[in-house]
Amino acid sequence: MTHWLKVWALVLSICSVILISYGIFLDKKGFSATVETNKDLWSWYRSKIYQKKVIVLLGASRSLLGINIATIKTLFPNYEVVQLSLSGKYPIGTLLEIADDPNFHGNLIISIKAEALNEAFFTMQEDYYSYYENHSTFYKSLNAYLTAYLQSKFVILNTSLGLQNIVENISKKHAFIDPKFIIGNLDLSISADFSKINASKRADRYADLSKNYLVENGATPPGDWIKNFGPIQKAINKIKARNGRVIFVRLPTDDALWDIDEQYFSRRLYWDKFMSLLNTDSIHFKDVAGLDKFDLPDDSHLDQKDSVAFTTIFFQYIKDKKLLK
Amino acid sequence: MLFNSVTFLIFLLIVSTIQYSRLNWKSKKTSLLIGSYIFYAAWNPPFIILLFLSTLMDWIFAKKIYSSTKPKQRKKWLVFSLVFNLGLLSIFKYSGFILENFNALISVLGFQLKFSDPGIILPMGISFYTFQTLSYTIDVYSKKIKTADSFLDYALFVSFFPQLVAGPIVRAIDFLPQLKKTKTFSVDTFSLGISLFIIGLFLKTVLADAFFAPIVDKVFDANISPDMLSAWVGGWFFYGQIFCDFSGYSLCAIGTALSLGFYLPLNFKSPFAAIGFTDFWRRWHITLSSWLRDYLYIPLGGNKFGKFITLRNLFITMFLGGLWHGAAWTFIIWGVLHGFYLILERLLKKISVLKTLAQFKIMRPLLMLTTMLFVMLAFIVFRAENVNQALDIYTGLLNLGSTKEILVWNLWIQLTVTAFILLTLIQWFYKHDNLPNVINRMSIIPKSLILSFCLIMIITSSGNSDAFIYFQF
Repeated sequence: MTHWLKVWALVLSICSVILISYGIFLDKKGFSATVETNKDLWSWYRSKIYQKKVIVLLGASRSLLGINIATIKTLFPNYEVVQLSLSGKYPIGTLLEIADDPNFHGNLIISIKAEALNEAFFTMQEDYYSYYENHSTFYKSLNAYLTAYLQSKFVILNTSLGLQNIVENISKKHAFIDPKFIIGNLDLSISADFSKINASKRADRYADLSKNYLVENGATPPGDWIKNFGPIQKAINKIKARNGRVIFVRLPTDDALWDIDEQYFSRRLYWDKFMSLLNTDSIHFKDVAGLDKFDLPDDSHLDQKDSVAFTTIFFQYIKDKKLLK
Repeated sequence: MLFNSVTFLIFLLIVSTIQYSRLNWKSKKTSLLIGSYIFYAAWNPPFIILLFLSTLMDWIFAKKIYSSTKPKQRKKWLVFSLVFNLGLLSIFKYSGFILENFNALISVLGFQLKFSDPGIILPMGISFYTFQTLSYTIDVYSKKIKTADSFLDYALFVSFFPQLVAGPIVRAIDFLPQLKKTKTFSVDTFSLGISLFIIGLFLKTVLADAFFAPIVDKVFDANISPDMLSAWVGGWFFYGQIFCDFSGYSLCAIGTALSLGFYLPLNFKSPFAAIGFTDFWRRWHITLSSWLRDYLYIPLGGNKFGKFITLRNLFITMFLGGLWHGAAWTFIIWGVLHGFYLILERLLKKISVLKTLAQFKIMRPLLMLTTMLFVMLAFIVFRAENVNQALDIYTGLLNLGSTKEILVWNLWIQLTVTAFILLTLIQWFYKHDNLPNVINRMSIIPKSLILSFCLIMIITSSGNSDAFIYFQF
């Protein structure tokens, strides 16, 4: 018996020393504990939207980086807040899916640009909500949540630190991996520290990508654009019939990206026109004092140091206007 | 529920606590049974009904067989059991495949009729637990065992969670006696169990998922004939992947069972070190190959009725062994290949020159490598999505036709090659031993270092956590 007790004592000691040392090394290198979003984890949060007082956030990366969940909870302490945004994917498909869910009665805040209202983009988040409907189970989503919880506490579980990544980086660059500038949080939001990267280079790249896409594909003429509002209006009606609320929000973009948006999807002809037709609330960042004063390092997203202040102004506005049920 | 998940660790903690509590033995067995059903339900809750139905039916069939005195009656109930179990397997596992090929056949014959796929979900573990219940009824019929003392014991034998979804395939004669008396906690047994679990998890999450799988997927998912280097690397690494994945799972299962005081049979015994294909099947998925030997090959006549019948029986056994793995032509071809290997081996053994040569010690590594090569070649069709993809890989191996460079010979691949070679060498040097014995013989320091290494690699490895390959069977 003492043989094995000695073995486990030694194993515990060796593992503790090495893992703690590795954690300290990573900390000094600038790594943080980070959560990786996956379909099971998203499904865990998707199953949490059925409470009476709930605020559900839909959108893409602007919503993930700009909106601070803890701040919303301070302003709305009796509300459950659920972040279902997905980076790089427009959320209209998820809006339609939730509208068809008879058990949802809460508040939906949907962050989009006018471009997202193109029917061609409706299914961008389909792999996630389809997975929730057809493959997700309580066990899998619970496991994903527990794993994410551990990931949020321990830097050594950072998924960018896979052995292959480390080896290939050392082999090519003769250095350890650089930490990413974004950190995934347990509530699915993202914190970005733009001081770690060349943000203006990133801004230029976004602008080029956006411009090239629009030059190649063009923007749908406003008259044709309006045809997309049918299914969205139906979805809004379904939610409102169940005493829910839907609020569309246009979060800030800046400089070059804003100019491109205005050139191809001018606010007057697209956003304002669309929102005037939809029988629901909408908020444009230009209409809320203070929301357009924040610096966007890459012209598109907020730095983590500004997300609390931004969220405070934004949700205080929502609170003052009594837009939530 | 996956072994490499946080929820399983919590589940095991709860089950272990109950197992070593002051509850009476019947209550402990009941809670193990409930725990096993919860374990299975974590995958897809409604299918616990199927598991229960399968358990109940074979309990009834075995009781009828046991209580019948007339041979005709006994045979009748055995046939019912065979039809029920193989019928279940056919419906859930093979109906889509049968329909697909039927549609293809009638299309070739010029008919426009087409039957749509019913889209039946394959219940996890059905191939394993139906074989297990079948072995019970057959053994009762053969009077090798009597029926279980209680339905509780029998149900626990069928659904015992460590081996429920992917084996090892356990025989009632080995497991039921273990249910007769309560398990008391033993530090040695518990620790050995946990050690096997850790090593199993290391094989799966580190070697299979982090090292081999990404490279294998790159080669096989390219959907094009790979260059020669990529084809060979992909082929060898898939052999490594499937070994580490499956033997890793088996070790986790055996280790978990041992930590609860139960002994499950070993499923792998250094298969890389096999010399010849008969030896390979005594080392790879041992519980399946012995099941096929005892319940298929021997009842067909084994090697008792002359050369032709023996070869026929070998072929049929391996053909059905391939089919057991899945409803696809790739698995059937894999089984047929192994059938041919075994037949060829038997024929070559008759040639006295070769037989003499094989006995020289210096020939043994060469024969081992030859066996490994042919096993690897067969595993290519096992891994391929379809026959065309397998042909692409074989074309790449021989550098025929137009190929595409897929892999770059970088440090990571070199490390993985090193891991593969080490795996081979370890199996070669320990080919006559088994892992539990090796662990038990180790002194404190090497044991601690190995377990620490495995644990650290498991915790820090961030490869894609893929499902165990054998879950799909």
